[in-house]
Amino acid sequence: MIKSIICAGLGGQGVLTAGKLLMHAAHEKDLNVTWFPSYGNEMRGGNANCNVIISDKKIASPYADTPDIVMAMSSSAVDIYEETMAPGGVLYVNSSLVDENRKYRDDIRVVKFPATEIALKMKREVNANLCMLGKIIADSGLFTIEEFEKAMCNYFDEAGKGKFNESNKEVVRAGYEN
Amino acid sequence: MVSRKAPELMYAENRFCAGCGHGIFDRILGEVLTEMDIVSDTIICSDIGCNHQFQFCMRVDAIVPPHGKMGAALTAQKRVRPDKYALTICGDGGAYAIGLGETMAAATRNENVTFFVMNNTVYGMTGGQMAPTSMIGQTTSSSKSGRSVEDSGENFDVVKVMGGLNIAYLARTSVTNPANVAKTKKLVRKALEKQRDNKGFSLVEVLVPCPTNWGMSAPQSMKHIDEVVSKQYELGEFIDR
Amino acid sequence: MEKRIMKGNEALAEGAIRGGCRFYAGYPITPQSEILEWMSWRQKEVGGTFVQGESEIASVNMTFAARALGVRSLTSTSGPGFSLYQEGIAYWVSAGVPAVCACVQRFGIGDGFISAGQDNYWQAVKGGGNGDYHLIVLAPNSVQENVDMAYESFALAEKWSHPVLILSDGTIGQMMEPCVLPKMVEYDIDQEQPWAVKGVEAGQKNKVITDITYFEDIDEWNDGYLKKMREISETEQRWESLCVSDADVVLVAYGISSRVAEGAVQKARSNGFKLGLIRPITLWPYPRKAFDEIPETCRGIVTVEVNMMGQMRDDVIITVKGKYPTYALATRQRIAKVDQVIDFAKAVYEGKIKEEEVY
Repeated sequence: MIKSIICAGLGGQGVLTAGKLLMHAAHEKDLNVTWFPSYGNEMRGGNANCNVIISDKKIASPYADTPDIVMAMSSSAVDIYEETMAPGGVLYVNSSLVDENRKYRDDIRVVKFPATEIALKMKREVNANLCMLGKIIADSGLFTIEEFEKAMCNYFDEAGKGKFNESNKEVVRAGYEN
Repeated sequence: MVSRKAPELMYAENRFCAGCGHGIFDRILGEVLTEMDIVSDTIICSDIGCNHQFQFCMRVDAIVPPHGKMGAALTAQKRVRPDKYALTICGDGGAYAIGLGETMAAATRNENVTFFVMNNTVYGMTGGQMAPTSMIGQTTSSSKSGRSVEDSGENFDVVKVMGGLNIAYLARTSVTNPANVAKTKKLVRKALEKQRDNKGFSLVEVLVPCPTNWGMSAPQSMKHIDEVVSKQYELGEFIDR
Repeated sequence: MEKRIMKGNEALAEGAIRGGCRFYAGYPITPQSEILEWMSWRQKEVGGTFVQGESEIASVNMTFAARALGVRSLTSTSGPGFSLYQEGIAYWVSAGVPAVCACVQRFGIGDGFISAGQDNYWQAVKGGGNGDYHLIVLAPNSVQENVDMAYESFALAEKWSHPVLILSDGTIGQMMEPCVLPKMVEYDIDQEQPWAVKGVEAGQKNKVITDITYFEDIDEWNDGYLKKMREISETEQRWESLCVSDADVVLVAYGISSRVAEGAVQKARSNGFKLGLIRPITLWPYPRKAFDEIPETCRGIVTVEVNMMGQMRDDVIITVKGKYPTYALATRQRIAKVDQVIDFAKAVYEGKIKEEEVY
């Protein structure tokens, strides 16, 4: 099993964190994993992304040249990564911020999900990333919701942000269940 | 007073030119280290230039970083071995030209280290070229018609540059006669005592003669310092905290 | 042992700490600043010294001084900072000071860019400063190797009284992976060390940490130095080989490029194309012995590098002495993609690519 994942969006949308959470969830499942971020000047242009590779075997390249999964939190993320995707891959689109009439490749599966809207309704706009992750977990079966939530809480505990764990879980659940 | 018998750590005749001031200073330093009984607690950071020849007449542990980088090296020396004295014998070119950045950075951090800067107003080892301390109008092998402000800017005066810093000790002295030698010995000791007492950065500039590159005899050189150089570069203690 | 997820640069810093590093000086520069940031709090925790130097020039010379006083010392930099280090590192070599430097490569000439690159190769393995020398150069290709190489670098440098360079790159430095951290080593700075000064009683024989030829017969020292360099080049070659013995085309790559090349070998093999990989782990000494395994039938050797001129190809040519044609897939500032490597190697196999002169 090998999954190539790109989490992409605008700076501030938490896509690097989203990738890290997937990495930690994979690590806690004893899978091999790599995470590589855009950094420095690349980020200043407003776009941010990270590459996550998850595998039960040794991982060679940490780059997702042809991603199986793309989490696209913005239109520009779709612009950049849709064309690189492997046939049969799944593109998760934050439909709150991407034109609903947009046309997509027909050899990939597109899951449109209003992550920002849902998070906004919960007064947690900054956690649209977590909401989208909930959807990805539910749809892809990469992890069970329990596995993911445990990894997420551990991650935020270590980062000294554990006090938000309960409310973070609510946002993930909202994505998972919608 | 300078005692007649050379201290034990001076193991050979110095290799400086006749009448050079470096040898006088090295002897003074050797005596101060001996009298303070800190020879084994001293690690000298050498500059590169005539000054580095202390290595061939004094038995003191030493390190030699690239030319001018004493401010950086001394910083590390003192931080990793705070129980040892970190001092440099260096030239005006090393401390004030190529190493000015490192010298100033060490001073602005008020590192607990000591600089002894030999100011002979020229680059001695390379043949008497213009140094930052060469005076306006001074003829050198790279300012043949005399240093001009227009071409080379004002000469470097450490008292003007460091005068406002929060450092422990700043003084200038000379070695032109027995009284000045005795005075220099006192100031050298004082600088090292500042370090001993963890007061911070200390710098003593010593006006030294370079008869070879000045084209003067040894006595003429001493007279030149008394009558010309020390008029430009005032002697005294300027910071004493 | 427990695995923990770390960023490459932080792993390198922690590996050094656990290897007994108790002095670090550096100056901020992307993409290696996490090493400096890690050291800024971690050295305090372990009773070591951290100095943020006022420049790269100051930092490299602080590292010299700390090591010359006995402490296991590290500095790190990238790109233009590494150029500024060259004078200082030459002084380390001339004095036999076993300090360690990490260069996290970024791409470009002069200021360049901050994205990963592999164009410090010539500077890193061919000397870099004035005089005859090579540094012992280690090339990590994972977060784990960042830990392990930093950990062992001090003992390796001390073994030879010679500096070690860890030549990493922006991707290996910025990426995160699980890794295992080794046990903490405490290094006694008061132990006998030929390269270190501690102060000496009046009248006793002193030491001066400087160009050793100042105090020794220059011809004798040169003879000994050459013997040492020859011995290092014979005994310290390290590499990893993957599917080389029957390969039709052999890739040669280090650092991040070797990860991509490994992916290419796996994918090509699964499609019946016999690709192999030699991954130099030491860049000096260059692992020439690894090339003995290449079969007579191999149609070409391809270096994969994140630079413009295919710098490492020079060393492959020196090694194979014309026995095989050599090529460089030098992808400038972009990391090669797995398919791009396979396509290039296929074209070599099919004789579609002309062997070029080196620049």
